Amino acid sequence: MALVTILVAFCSIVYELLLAQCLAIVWGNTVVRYSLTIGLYLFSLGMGALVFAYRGKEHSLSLFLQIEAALTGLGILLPFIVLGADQALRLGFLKLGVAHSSWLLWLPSWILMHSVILIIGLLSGAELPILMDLARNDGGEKAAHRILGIDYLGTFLGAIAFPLFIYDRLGIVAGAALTGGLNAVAAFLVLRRFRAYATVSRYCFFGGACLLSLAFVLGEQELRHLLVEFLFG
Amino acid sequence: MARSKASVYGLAMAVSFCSMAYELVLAKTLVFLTDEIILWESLSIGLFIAAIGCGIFLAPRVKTEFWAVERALTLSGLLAVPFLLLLHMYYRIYLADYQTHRLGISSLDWVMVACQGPNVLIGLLSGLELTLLFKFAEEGDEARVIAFYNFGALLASVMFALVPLTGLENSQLALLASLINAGIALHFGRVATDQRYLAAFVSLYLVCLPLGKVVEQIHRKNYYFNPITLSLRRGAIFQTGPLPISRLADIWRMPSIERINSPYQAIDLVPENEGHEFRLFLDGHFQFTTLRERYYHEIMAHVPIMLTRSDIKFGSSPVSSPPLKALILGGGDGMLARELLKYGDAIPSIDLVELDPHMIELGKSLRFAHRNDSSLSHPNVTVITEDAFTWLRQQKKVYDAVYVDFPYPFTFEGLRIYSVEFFKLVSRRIRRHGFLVLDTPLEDGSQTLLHATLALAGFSKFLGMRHDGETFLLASQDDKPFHLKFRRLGIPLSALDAEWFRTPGSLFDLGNNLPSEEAPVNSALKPRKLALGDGWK
Repeated sequence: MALVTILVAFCSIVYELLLAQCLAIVWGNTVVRYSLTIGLYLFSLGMGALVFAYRGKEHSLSLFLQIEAALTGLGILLPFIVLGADQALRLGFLKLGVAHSSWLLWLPSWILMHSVILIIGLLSGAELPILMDLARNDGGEKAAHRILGIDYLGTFLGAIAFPLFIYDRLGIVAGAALTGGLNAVAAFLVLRRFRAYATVSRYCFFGGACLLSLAFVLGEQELRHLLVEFLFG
Repeated sequence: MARSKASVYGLAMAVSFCSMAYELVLAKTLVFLTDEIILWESLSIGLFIAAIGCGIFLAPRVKTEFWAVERALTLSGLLAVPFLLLLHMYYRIYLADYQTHRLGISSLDWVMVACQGPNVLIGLLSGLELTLLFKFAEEGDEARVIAFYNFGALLASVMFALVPLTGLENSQLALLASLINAGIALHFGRVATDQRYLAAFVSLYLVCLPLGKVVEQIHRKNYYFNPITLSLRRGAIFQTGPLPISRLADIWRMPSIERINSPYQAIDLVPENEGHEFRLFLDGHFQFTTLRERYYHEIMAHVPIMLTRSDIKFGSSPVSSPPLKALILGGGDGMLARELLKYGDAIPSIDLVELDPHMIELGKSLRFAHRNDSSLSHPNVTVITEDAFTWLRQQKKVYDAVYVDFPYPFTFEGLRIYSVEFFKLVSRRIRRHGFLVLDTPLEDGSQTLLHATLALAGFSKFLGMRHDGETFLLASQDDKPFHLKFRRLGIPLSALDAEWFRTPGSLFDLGNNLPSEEAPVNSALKPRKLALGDGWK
């Protein structure tokens, strides 16, 4: 469970930093984008934990796997969803005859991008209480606290890895794909630990996600050129 | 003591607001000192969150009161920024190797890792604070307290995004946040009415209020007037020796440096020549000196026109020579616009896109206006205050000449406007026979990188221009060769003459040699670092 916790925390912060960078590409003013993204992220983490607390603790593991599936899909396709949707909205409104200076060309996109930040934060916020509950069932309160500490460690590792490796060496497309793949790996580890939940469909989904992640990393250059052509060509 | 739920939630928001404000201020200070936005924003938040976790872990082992933690946070928040500035001063005087104009990890970054001390300390204290906060909450209400705690962090990040509009210094922001912590410490320590504590509290702020500004001015003077002379021209570094701490008494006699804090950058005007001239710095990076800026701007403005538009003459009628539409990206100082306005009706339209409204204000001020001939207020010049990248995406207008007059790309953020995406947007706004010119102080490897980036963006012809260490790149989508001859334009020029054209190395035609399609390019989605150097060879 320690490795699962590190992986999910790592992925969570990396998604948010990738999103901040996507926002900076489109809107500029990097410091403001990062600051707002981190603030929204922390807020939605708390909201996610709160929603989980109110929802009750039934079917926690199923919920955890659903969260991982959502985060994996969102993560691998992150730049396409966020940047692609921004361009698609712009082109759509321009085709409808909206003026170049209209607020319609930026506000829907702004709302969409910040909603993705909130969604990822909410989902990530629900992850930690579930992991702590699982640890508590196994090893009591001490184990639960250990998971809390490991979660912070995973966040720290993600925050270091992003500027030094993920954005610097891999770029946004491959970085998002790799991170989504790591989410899938975390889900795999949970399925191996809790075999009662290990269904064929889940294995297929997360296995396929890992393969897709690998394909995106290897084909990063082509995918990036396609995205750049669509966004700026 | 029983507290209402609302007061506990409010307290959670307030303390989290302060802690997050300190973290954001510290991250921003580190960014300014090192230029690396992404690295220090990411590292700072990661360490801060990790330190909060450590604080939560340590809480059961540490016997302390809530108000004592608040008091510690007050002091930490107040002194953190001055501490960083003093440490950076020490680095520049005793430790600097001055390999600072390269992206990536440098010796400065290792010193800055040490500077994370205040950030980690504040994180630890915040973790302790959060755990002690739970004592005020009802049983089972911790989740809501955490939610309001996180909401306070959100408020801080939103406020932080807006505060640069006020032009406050980083130390002043931290001071405001520490006032809140101090108030909470006084209240919970039940010493709000104790005269000794009130006197200590007031004295602390009376000392710290001017202290932050004084330390910042000393730091600035050391940064700009320290007699280490750095020259990267022709591969040599000239060093005359640092100003040691013991000589800092001299610093009071040095002229004050005016800083304008804009939402986007710190604009510093460093006086020289007994205040009659000045040097302009953006985020600590040299832009130009008023002593020599005419040479730079003449080469950049007129040589491309000379080489590509033989029909342009001073005062010519638009019927015989088609008017030229010019776009300046950056250049908010107005100097480039001044040069283009010399053509009169031959260039009747100049659009100038500058991100920073403070830069425009400065460009229009008396101090700049008599140097740029009030170019920014000229009816032929349309000033647009917006991010160039975002603006270009919205544009339909096409131009004959595009001048890119941005600061050098020392950071990943700067690389965004030297990316293939940006140049694609530019290429769509240039007529086929038009040109793009930009300032390119780059080493060999980076020349190839920029060449490949521009080629992928649609440019096919390149020419390098050099004057006294300044280098420029002229690019075009047209196949016609450049006219590599000096031509009299009939306008007043200070430095540009036939002699410059005859000087070996002033112009170097790169012809139509395009890099291979596999050559790496700089993309906003995958940045490649460019480095300073002698420019095109």
